[in-house]
Amino acid sequence: MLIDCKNVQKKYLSKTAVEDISIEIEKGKIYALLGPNGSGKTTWMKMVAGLSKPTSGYILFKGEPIGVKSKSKVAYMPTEPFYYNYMTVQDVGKYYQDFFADFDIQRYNSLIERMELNQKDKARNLSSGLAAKLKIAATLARKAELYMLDEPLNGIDIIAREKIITTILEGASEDASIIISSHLVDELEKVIDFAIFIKNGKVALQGEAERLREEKNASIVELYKSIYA
Amino acid sequence: MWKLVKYELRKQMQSKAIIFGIVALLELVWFFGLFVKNSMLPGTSGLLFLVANISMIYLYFESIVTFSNDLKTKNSYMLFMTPNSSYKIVGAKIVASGIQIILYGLCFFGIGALDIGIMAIRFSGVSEVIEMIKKFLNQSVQIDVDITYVFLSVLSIIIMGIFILSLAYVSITLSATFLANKPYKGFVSFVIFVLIVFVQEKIVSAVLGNVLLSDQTTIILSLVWYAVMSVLAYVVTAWMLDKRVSL
Repeated sequence: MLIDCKNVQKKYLSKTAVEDISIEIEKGKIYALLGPNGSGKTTWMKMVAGLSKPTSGYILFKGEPIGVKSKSKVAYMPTEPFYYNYMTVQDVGKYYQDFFADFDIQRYNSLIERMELNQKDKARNLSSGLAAKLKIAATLARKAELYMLDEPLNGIDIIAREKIITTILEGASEDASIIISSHLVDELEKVIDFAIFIKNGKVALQGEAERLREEKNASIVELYKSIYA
Repeated sequence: MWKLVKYELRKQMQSKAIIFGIVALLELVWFFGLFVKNSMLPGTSGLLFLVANISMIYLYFESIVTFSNDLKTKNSYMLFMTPNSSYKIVGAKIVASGIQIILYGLCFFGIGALDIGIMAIRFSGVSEVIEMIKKFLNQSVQIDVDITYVFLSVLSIIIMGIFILSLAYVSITLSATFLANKPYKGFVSFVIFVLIVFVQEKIVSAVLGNVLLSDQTTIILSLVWYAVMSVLAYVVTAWMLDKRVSL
């Protein structure tokens, strides 16, 4: 098991972002983390990425608490832009190369070319779509054991989405898992192995995508609508 | 950790380039005043001295603001996503700030010493003035202003500065971690910062007296005190982030 998350809660001053989440992530599967804005998906991902500590409960990566070791194996792509203002596309690659032993600079350069980005462009001057592609390229150029992509299709035009999904799936293997959070459920429907529905900081429903479809006699998109409507 | 230090220095490079651009311009004007129009010299010298002091203060300010941004903006992901412990991250910040303080302090000191040296050659009266100042200090406060004293005084100012910086990091981190869910967190952590500075200064005064006008032993003891306090502040900051980081 890659991630063992039990009864995790995250509270802030005026709200509880994650009420009670228990999830297990296994190797070699593609997970969809689904839910509307504010349901707790990003908060959960940030806790797994080590950017936030749970208020209670625990998260283990391969049996050990989240920390330096897990950060070297988990590639997290936040939804917001976060690169330093002075950085160019090339600088982002160098930064990842400096800190992540699993970062493949050649793959990065090839992804940059595929995404039609210019190495000399300043990250802060990129449009939202190109900035999203840069984040994807930097994250997927790592040979991580777990990829967590928070809204990777945000800002990506409809034609480019399929290319992005194909690129994301290239990272999938028997040894690596991918967790994708997205509102664009119909885009993910065809590619996921497992679906986790988060509502008000709790897991409303989770299971293998195929089993859910059979049991509920509905597609993942229809289940999404029924849970959140 | 040195990769972290490299990126910390890179983050703050733009402001340094601007500062040294201004200093270079003022130096040109100063040299013009020295060799062509002597009446410009006092004003330019004063300006250079002012710019050096303001720049050093700005250095501290920028280090503190950068640290605050690294905990409060999304840029924080750049640091805390990397497989580095909080101890390495905070350590790199303090080392980077220390390097800047020392390097830029030495640069300004070097420029000042060079300018005084050139002035002494140009106007032989300057070296006489320097001797007068040394004599005055020796008679009025019983200090031998030799090179060791100057070195120790400068070193204690640097280390004191690093201590204040480390303490500011404690305050900011407290606000972002253990006080994150409390009202008035900024105000409370600032009050704690002021209190700690006040209390430890009282301790230093009571035990060592006025450090800056003291003998070398007293200065060395104060150096050790501030160094230990800086290390303590660093450990506390890193520990708080390790336990309660919430970006």
